[in-house]
Amino acid sequence: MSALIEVRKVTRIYGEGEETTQALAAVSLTVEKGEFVSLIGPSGCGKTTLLRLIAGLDSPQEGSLSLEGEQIEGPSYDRGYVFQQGALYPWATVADNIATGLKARGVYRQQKGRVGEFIKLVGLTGFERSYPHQLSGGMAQRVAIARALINEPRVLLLDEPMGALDAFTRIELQDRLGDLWQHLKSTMVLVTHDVDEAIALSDRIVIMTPRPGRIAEIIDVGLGRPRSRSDPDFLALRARILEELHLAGHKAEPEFSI
Amino acid sequence: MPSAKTPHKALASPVSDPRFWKPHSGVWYALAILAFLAALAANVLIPANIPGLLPGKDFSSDYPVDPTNYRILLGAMALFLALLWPLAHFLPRLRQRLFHKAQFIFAGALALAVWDILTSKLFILKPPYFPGPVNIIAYIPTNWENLLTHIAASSQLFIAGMVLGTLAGIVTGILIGWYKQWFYWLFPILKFTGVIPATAWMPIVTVALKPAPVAMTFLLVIASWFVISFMMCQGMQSTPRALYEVSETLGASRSFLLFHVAIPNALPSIFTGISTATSMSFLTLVAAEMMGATAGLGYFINYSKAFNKYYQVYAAIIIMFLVFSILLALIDLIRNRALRWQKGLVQQ
Repeated sequence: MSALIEVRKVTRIYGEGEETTQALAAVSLTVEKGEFVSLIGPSGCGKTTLLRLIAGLDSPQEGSLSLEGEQIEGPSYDRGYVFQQGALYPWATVADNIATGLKARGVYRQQKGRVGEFIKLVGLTGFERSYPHQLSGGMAQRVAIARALINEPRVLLLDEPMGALDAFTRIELQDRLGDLWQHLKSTMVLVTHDVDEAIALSDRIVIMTPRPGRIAEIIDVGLGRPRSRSDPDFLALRARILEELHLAGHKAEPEFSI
Repeated sequence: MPSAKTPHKALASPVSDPRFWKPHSGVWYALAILAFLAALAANVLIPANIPGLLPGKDFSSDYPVDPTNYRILLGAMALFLALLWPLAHFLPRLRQRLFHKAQFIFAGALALAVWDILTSKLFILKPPYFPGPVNIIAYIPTNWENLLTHIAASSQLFIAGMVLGTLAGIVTGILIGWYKQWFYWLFPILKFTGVIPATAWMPIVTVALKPAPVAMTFLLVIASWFVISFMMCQGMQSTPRALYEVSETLGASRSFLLFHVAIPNALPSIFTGISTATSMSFLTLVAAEMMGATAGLGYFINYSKAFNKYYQVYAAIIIMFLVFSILLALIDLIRNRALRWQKGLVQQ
C-alpha cells in the first residue's frame, strides 16, 4: 500500500473577529490506496470540513493536502464527491445525470456505453429515463454514486450519503457501497454519524472531536468481510467506539443514533 | 429493492379526481345542449320589439341585425355537443372533462340567451353601446378581410417585439446572472426600468424612432426585455451551491457550469418571465395601437368607437380573446415540453 491522500497539519477557521470557529486544528491524516476510511464524530468536529478540503471545495488557512504527491488546489474529477442530499440535476434523467462527468470532460462520445454499465452497476436498469423527483431517496443516492464513479476517480468522497435514508434503505445501500468498493478496488472516504455504518464498511475509523476539530483516535477495524452486524466482534467494537465518542465529545451530545 | 414513486399516475376513482371533480352524470351535459336549443328558440320565437328606435338615427343604417349567423352558431354548438356525447362514451378521459365543464357550458348558453333577449329583443340594453350577440356575430363575416388585415398587423408587431425582447432578455439575463460586473452596472437599471410601464416611454420612443412600426416594436421589446432578463437572472442565481460544487468535482469547466447547470436551473423562471412578458406586451400593443397607429386591432377599436360602431369594438375584443388564448396555449405547450422534468414536482 502507498499513501494516496496526505493531509498535513491542516487548520481551517471559519468566521472573522471574535465570531470564529476553529473547524480543524492542525489535523493530519493519511489515506492509503484502496482503503475505506470513515470519519466519525459529533457535529462541529470538522469531519465534513476535512472531506471538503480533500475535495478541493474549500481551502485551509494552514497546512497542505496532496493526492499522490500532487498538491490539492481545487475540485477535480479525480476526487469524486457525493452529497448528503444527492444533489442530482432535477432537469436531467438518471442516464443524463450519470453521463454528466463524461460530458463535462468531453469524452461522452467515445465512452457513451459506460453510462449503461454504471446504471447496471448500481442496480437502476429500467430507470434510465426517470427524473430525480420520481426516485426514492436510496435510488437517488445510487445515481449520485454512479455519477461520481463513472469518472473513475482516484478517491470517492462521501458526505453522509445515507444520512437522510430510512434504516432499511440505509443498510441496503451500505451493503451495495461495500460491494462497489470491493468490485472496483477504489479508495473511499466516508463521513458519517452512524457507528454501525462506519464499522460495516471501513478499514479504519477516524474519530474526531469538536472545538477545535481534531482527530481523537484512529481505529483499525480488522474484521473479516463480509461483516455481520450481529457478530460479537462487531458489537464489541461498536461498544468501544460509542464509549470513545462519549468521552471524546465531553459535554457535547454525540450525533449518533442507537 | 425500493420502488420508484409512481410518476403522476391518473387516479381511476372519479370521486378523488382533483382536476375533474364536478358531478359525473350526463344530466348537466344534457341540460347544456338544451340550453343552446333554448337560446335558439328564444331568438326565433320572441319578436323584436323596437320602442321608438330608428335605424340611421339611433344606430347606424348599416347596423348588422341579420340573426342567421347567431342561429347557426347556437345550432352548431348544440349539434357539436350532441355529437361529442357518443364519442365521450368510448373515451373516459374526454367524458370526465366534458361532464366537468358541463355546468359552465350550460351557464354560458343561458348567458347568451339573456344577453340576446336584453338587447335585440327587449332593448333594455340599447344600441349603439350595447349590441347583442346577433349584431356582433352578424358583423364579423361581413368584414372578415378587413379584420384579418388588422389581426395581421397586430400579430406582426407582437411577434417581432416578443422574439426580439425574449432574445435580448435571455442574453442580458445571462450576462447579469453570471458576471459580477454586468450585475453591478445593469441590475439596478433593470430594477428601476422594470417598474415603469412600457407605454410611458411612448412619447419619447415615437419621436426618437421612425417609422412608427419600428417605434412600436421597440416599445414591445421594452415590455418583454426587462421582465425576462430579470427572471432569467433570478433563476440562475437561485441555483443551489451543491449543484455547482458537485459539477466541479465531476470535471466541469466554467462554461459547463453556465450552460449545463445555471441555465437549465433558470428554465422554469424564464418561462414565468415569458408568460408575464406576453401579457405585458399585449397590453402595450393594444395601448400603443390605440394611441398612434394606422392599423391593428387596437387602432380598429379606437376607430370603431369614433364612428359609434360598438359592435365592432366587441368583435375586436372577441377576436383578441381568441388570438391571445391560442397564443397562451402555445406558450404553455412549449413550456410543458421544456419543463417535463417538473411534472408532478410542482402543482400546475
